[in-house]
Amino acid sequence: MNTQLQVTDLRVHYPIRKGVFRRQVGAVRAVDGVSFGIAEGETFGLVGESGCGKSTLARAILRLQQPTGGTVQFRHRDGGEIDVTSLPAPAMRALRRDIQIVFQDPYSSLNPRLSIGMTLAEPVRAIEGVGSRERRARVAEALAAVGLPMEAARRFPHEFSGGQRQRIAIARALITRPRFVVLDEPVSALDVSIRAQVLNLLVDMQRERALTYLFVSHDLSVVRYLCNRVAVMYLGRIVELGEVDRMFAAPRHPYTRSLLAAIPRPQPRKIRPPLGVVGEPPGPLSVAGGCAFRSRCPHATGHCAAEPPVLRDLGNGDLVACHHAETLPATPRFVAA
Amino acid sequence: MSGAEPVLEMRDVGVELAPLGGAARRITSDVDLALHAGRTLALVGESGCGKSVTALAAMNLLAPPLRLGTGHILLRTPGAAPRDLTRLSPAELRAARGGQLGMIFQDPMTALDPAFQVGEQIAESLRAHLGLSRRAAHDRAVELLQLVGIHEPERRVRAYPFQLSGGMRQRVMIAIAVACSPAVLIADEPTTALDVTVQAQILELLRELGARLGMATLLITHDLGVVAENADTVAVMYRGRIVERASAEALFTAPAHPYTRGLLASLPPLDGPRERLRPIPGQVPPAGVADADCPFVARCPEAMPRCLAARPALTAIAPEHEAACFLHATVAA
Repeated sequence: MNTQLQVTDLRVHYPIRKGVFRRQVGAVRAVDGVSFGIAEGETFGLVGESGCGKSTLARAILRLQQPTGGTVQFRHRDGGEIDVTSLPAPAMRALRRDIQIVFQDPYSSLNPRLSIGMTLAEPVRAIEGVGSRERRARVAEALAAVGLPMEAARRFPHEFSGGQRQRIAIARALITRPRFVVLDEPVSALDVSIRAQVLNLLVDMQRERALTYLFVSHDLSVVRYLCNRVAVMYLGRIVELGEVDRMFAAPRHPYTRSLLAAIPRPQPRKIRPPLGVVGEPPGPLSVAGGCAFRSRCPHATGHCAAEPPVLRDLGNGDLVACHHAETLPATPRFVAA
Repeated sequence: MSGAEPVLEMRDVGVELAPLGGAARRITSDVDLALHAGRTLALVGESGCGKSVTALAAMNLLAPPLRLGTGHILLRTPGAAPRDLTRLSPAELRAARGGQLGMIFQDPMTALDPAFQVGEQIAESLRAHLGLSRRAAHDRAVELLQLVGIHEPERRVRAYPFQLSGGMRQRVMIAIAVACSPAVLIADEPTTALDVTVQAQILELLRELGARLGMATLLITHDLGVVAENADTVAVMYRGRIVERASAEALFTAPAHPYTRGLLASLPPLDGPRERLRPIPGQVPPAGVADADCPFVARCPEAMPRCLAARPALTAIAPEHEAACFLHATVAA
């Protein structure tokens, strides 16, 4: 299978400046040397808690945030590969037709002063330079695809509920017929019953249009439902990457284990396994040498403080960044009370 | 359900939205809830269903344009006659809130005062309700921070909210809520703003404190996983009314109302095969109640003609299990 997107050693560092001369005294390493590939037609999940860098990474891939280092190779329609990080502005604008994004909050991502028709026509006009007659046809087609009536085009965002607004945001992302879509927490702001509707819509769109998704989320049940492979991030780095069913059945990194153990399950009278994690993530400023997770890890040793673990293959293609991955005790299971 | 009388009982509570110069509109209706010592009742539902205004009503804390339209809120504390919160004077209400009723809000950043050290915010309640001296209240604040699992409480007591992480702020909120050992704890989406590993720790703390202090807890949440792991009994709200009430066990193993079933079917499973989700069709309705028909009829996959003609009442369908749905009424009749 072809690789649609290859991220290599991507870094986003924000300088910390001090004093009257604003001298740089350090850097917040929001994304610190991340590499992964996404296959054509795949849904790749990116999970982690707030501040782990998952949204920054997604924005850097789209160049909504200029990366500090590394490359993002995108496979073009003609089969050629281009590096998104060094593309000049006109070429980048042309590429936006193929790379789109759906944001988390459908209340702030739609312009309240534009009708839905104008919002949807904008990418077609700006990127593809299509005339007004065809634009109208494309808007009608896009609304129908996400299950909204044609007359929605004349209305404004405030007339729609959160779920309907997220359908509009999806229609806007898909109207240029992209190949790759970043979904940044697209269902996190929605009610449970509406969330399921939007998830079904995302699945349908992917099947009909052969889309490749990068799905960013903190909700592991949604990630399991939608994704083929998942990368778990902690403080700017990937700590585990692998096939979703394997990771949920047998997580290898202590952090992945505690994330999975912490999910509240809709099954009463189950005894949760021990969380295996204490406290909260330290701020990105306080990361010293060694493994970033060691301050919360019950298995940390001197080795973890001395040397940062690198992502390594455990033999089945799954990657984990932990010195002790092979020697950790078996994964605790949920048991009936 | 325990045989003892409930510590807090809401009877027939209806909240109204009465904008200045506008007509009053009912937001909730016929809400009956009973909170028992040492037990947790979860109130679940989607945005606008009326769960948060019910939490405010439980403390008689509604502020204009919201007001209590109907109903009574009975507080029974040991060694005192039952009191109706709707009939207390403002001074008596102030004494009850914070004293016998503790509350935790969703967002600890906005609920804490940014200009005061957290220790002062905890001590304020202790001095007002228990009449402790400044010195004694400070010492007790340190103990409370210890109780809610904050390390180095002697140092943290002097921290301002911005110096604490989200999880620690929520622990401070909990310390304030339980400072006077209240009989009732009302927690409105206490972990929604938190990361999942922090959420697990905070819920653990609430369970432990509930058991240790014997508090009756009302837990408001939209997360059915949080309900399953923390509640003894559950009430499901839709369009301002309770549509199903059951033990947590019964609600998850034998959900009776089509809305409850729809909510459970909307959840992506955490194990087993990944079948297509079966969402509830339509939109989440805006806040407000209707009387003429079943509140769920517009989205219900099992709607019948009689659901349009009348509104089903909440009726017992099994021991400790009630639902407001004609599907079950026909069986009983």
